[in-house]
Amino acid sequence: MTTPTIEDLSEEINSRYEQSFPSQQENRTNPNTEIYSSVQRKFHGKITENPNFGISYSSPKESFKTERRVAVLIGDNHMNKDLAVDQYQLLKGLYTDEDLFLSSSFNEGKTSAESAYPTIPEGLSEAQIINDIRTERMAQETAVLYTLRSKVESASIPYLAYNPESLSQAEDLDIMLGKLISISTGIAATVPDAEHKVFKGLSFEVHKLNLMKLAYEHGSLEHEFYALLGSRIKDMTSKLGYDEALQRRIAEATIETVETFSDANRDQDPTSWQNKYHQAPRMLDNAQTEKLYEQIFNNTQELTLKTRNQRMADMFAQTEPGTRTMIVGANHYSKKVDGKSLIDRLEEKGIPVIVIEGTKL
Amino acid sequence: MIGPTGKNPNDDFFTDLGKTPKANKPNQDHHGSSQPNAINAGKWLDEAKSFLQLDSRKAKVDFVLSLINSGSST
Repeated sequence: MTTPTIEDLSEEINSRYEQSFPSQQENRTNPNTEIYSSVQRKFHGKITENPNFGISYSSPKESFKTERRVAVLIGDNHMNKDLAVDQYQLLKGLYTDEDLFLSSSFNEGKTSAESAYPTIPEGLSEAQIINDIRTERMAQETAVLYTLRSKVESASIPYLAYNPESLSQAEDLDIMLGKLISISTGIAATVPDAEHKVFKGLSFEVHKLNLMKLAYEHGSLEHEFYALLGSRIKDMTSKLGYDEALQRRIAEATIETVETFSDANRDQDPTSWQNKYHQAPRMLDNAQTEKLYEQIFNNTQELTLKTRNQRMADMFAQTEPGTRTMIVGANHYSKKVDGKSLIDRLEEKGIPVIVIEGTKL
Repeated sequence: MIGPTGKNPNDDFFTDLGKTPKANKPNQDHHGSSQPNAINAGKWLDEAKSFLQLDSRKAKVDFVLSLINSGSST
């Protein structure tokens, strides 16, 4: 049986995805952009008034004062659902504040809001939106986009467009896949988080994958989704040195996990996927498990904390001047890979950074 | 899904996969080796979309396994 090469297939699917979901980035010139010193003063004033958040960092260098590109990073930990709701309220407040003149924002990569946005039913109430954020059916930025774009007249609204970051579809999936395989092969449930911190935020990855699946379905790209999933599983399990019989078992179990979660998400029934997660039979021996851990760790380092950070910084640098927010996992700005965190990468491009973090434990 | 002939039309897709014409340009894997049997990705996907219905979990699994079984390389 003949199939395309994995790289050709990944490239083709990426191109089809981009055609179906072209970036909504308007990148228009915001006539009200302000210099960093003014943005810094305003944010300090506004965040001080908010008991749920504090500013943990703002670039101190004197030379940044007159910069008009500013990155406002809002720290996320993917585990705290109250924080996610607070972030939604915070962003809503920031984007309807006529004193701030924010420009269009960025997305860390939880399937771009622009592609997830059309998959959301019309007419959701505020309570439903908050419930969807709590259950990770909707990302915070997507919820703000949904709530504000058509309903609120404000100076910032024309610039409210959450732009996707520039990871390819294959790269985005590769980041999720190791963790997904750890679930489907029965490893994740047997390893305490305390011992393997890589598994923290596991449900975040699965939710993210489901958002990706919904977007592909919405774009009539169902075959492309499964082809991408299959080819990336093949790529990863081949590189791990697993034999073809094991590759097949992993592929089958992983599709089963994706489908179980998708059904559970649709039916708002978290127990069925949790059962799946806890009851999946373990199919990797210790050596194979260690290889998978290593792969997950490497992907986190290389794709999440290096490639993704570099491309995030590039995007901030390449767009029109303005103050842009981004909800981003705290590891991006607190951990350094090759001596650099996201803050370092932004600042070396001349972009000052303000970091906002939740104050609740 | 069972077609009018009484067999699963997805089976035809997998059977016919190997008969698909080869791509014009040879593909290369990461090690630089030629993949003369690899077919054009766009054409392969278009054929999959035409012939293969992903209307059951089994069909989805079969489709994914077709990529595992084929010996696709990077």
